[in-house]
Amino acid sequence: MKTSKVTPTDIILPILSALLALGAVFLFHACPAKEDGSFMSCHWAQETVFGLGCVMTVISGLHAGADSRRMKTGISLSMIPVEIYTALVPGCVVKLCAMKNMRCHTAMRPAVVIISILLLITSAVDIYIGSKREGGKNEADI
Amino acid sequence: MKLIFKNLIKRPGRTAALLLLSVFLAFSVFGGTMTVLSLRRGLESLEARLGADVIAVPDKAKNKLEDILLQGVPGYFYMDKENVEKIAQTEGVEAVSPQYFLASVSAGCCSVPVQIIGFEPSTDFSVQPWIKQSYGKELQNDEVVAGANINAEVGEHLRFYDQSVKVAAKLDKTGTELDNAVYTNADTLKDLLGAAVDKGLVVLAKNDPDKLVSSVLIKVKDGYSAEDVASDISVNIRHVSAVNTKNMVSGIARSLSGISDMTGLMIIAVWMLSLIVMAIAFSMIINERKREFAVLRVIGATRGRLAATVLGEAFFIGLIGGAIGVLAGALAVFPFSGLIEAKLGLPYLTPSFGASMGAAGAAVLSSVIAGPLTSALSAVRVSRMDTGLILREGN
Amino acid sequence: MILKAEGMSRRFFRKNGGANFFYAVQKTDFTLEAGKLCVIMGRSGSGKSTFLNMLAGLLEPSEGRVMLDNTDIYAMDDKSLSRMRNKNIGVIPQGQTALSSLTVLENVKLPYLLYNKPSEKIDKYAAELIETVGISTLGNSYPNELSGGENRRLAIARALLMQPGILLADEPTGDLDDENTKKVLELLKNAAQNGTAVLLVTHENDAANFADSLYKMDGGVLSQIK
Repeated sequence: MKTSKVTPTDIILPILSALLALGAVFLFHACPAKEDGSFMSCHWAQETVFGLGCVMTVISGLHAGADSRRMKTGISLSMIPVEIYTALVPGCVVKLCAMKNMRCHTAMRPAVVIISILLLITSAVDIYIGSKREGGKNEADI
Repeated sequence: MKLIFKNLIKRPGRTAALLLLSVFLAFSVFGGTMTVLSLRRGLESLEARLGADVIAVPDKAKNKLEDILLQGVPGYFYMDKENVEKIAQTEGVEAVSPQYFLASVSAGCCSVPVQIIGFEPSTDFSVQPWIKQSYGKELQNDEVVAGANINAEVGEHLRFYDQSVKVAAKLDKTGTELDNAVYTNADTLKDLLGAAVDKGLVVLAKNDPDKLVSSVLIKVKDGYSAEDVASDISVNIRHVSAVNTKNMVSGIARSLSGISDMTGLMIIAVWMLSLIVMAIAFSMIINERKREFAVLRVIGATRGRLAATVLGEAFFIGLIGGAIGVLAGALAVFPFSGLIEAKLGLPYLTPSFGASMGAAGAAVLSSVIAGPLTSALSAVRVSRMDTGLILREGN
Repeated sequence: MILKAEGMSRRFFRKNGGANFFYAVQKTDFTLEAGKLCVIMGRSGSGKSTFLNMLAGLLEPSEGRVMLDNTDIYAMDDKSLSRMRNKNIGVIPQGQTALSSLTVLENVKLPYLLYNKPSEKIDKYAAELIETVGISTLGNSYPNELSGGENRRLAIARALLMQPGILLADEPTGDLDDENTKKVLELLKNAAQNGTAVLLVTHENDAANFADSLYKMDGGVLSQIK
């Protein structure tokens, strides 16, 4: 059994995923509840992002723990659609508030989109690293 | 040339620390400049968007008008419609256009009330010039012109008091509270008012848009001063007071110049601080690398060459750090402009592409200049150093 | 090529006194001839490194001149002096002197690349040189992975790269074991036999056996033994 070398993406992926999950609740949360206690739709976008963030944290944890380079690449590939979907959650998948100067538009949406894109780039880099390592490594494996 | 890059790559810790400094420098220069530019543009657009030289409102409603226009607190107040005619006849008045204010209790999903403004499309000169995107048709009943912050595209529907209205046009972004308003014609407004009364807001019932107006926008003829016309109206027409819009925005202009000055000072302070830290860092690094430079002398490098190596390394650190800093700044300034606007509570409008590129260029330049500037002294010291003595020191 | 010192001396000011100075090297005449290995012996602090640095054009003498084939090298401007040193004088300084951000091979080629575009010819020659000095397997290693002896041999290969007429070596065998010392001395002897004027400054007695001419440096005074 060979343990493949730790790459920066092993660390960046879980950090960004956790940032997405925790940030959605604490940092760039959506609009607060209305006075009567009911939530606006952007709240559900926040919940969705939180859920997706948690899922991605777990998956990227598996990525960091995986001991074969091929498995890592596979996990990274599978994360890409999730990352794209996450970027689309505020605004496209779940409607946000009617006024663009509200928190869900000014804070949550840009933060979620940026983190998702950073995740996407990191996954792409990880896949690239994988494709490069694979070539050289196979010979060494034999 | 190759040596410069190898030096940078093979000393990742040192390079990263210096890079971080120049990233920080470019980031703060870019962020600060963009903030000031945005505020300036916000003020300009506020002045342009008010459109009128003078705004006439009922007595005692002056503060409320400022609340609506500058603070974004929806509200309403009314005066007799006859006043419009009287104002139009005042000397020096070129054009008048009345507006009727109504505040929604809640718009669709959201807890924030929206300012609804009824205007007369035929006399209007302050709303229609800013329509960004529309059907190209005249405003029909049950159609509205939406400010840029209303999250609805042309053709979509909004609900006020359970009455559905169609977005017929959208206005350009102003970066001011005017972005939060919805504009309608008189008939639509009457429908909305009726719906409000049906919903139990009986107080509104007496505010008949046929007999009342909230404000009158006034354009002043060339050759007359807005100040004089405003005081003329205030003195001569009972229960009406007129505001010179220039005076209204002057308060904002004052706080803006305050922020500009602060930001400018901050940028200079950050710049100076980074320069000092970088200069110290470079001179420490040079001390540590004395021997390396002595060896280069031994194998025949000129004094100029050594200086060029030091300056070159600093230049590339400045260039790369500057680029990263601006990129990071752009990621903060553009997507989060709404948040910055909300936090500052001032008109804030992201500058045009050209102006943004200018700010980016200035920021990169500031860090590119900082590199060689701070290493210049070290470069001179390196080129002046006595190789023989350093080689002796080594043992 | 002939390197000549004429009435050359160097004095240093003491740190704690204004007009208080001492001579590191007393007024000396000295000639280094092509094809000869000249050894200067002396304890550390005897002024021999100062002497060598002055000959290399790295430290201006307080008095006197250094002549390379009838040219006063300290009368040249920095540019021509640097260029001349690059071409004609190979110096092996004391201690670890490789640039740590370059590989062994890159270090060896550096003198050439300072003034010339990379060429296959120089790649080949540099490879030959590290073969000669016995570190051919380390071409792509970095200096911090090398032992003291290997580093010293790197410096020798680097000094030989431009095929200089003059070779000045400052304690090239310091901290080396007997075997490595012998190797280094043989390399220098070979260079001399190939027509280079070689000056070796050392405090070790082994070197005397290789010398064509032998000097002793004591308290800044140079005296010929052989």
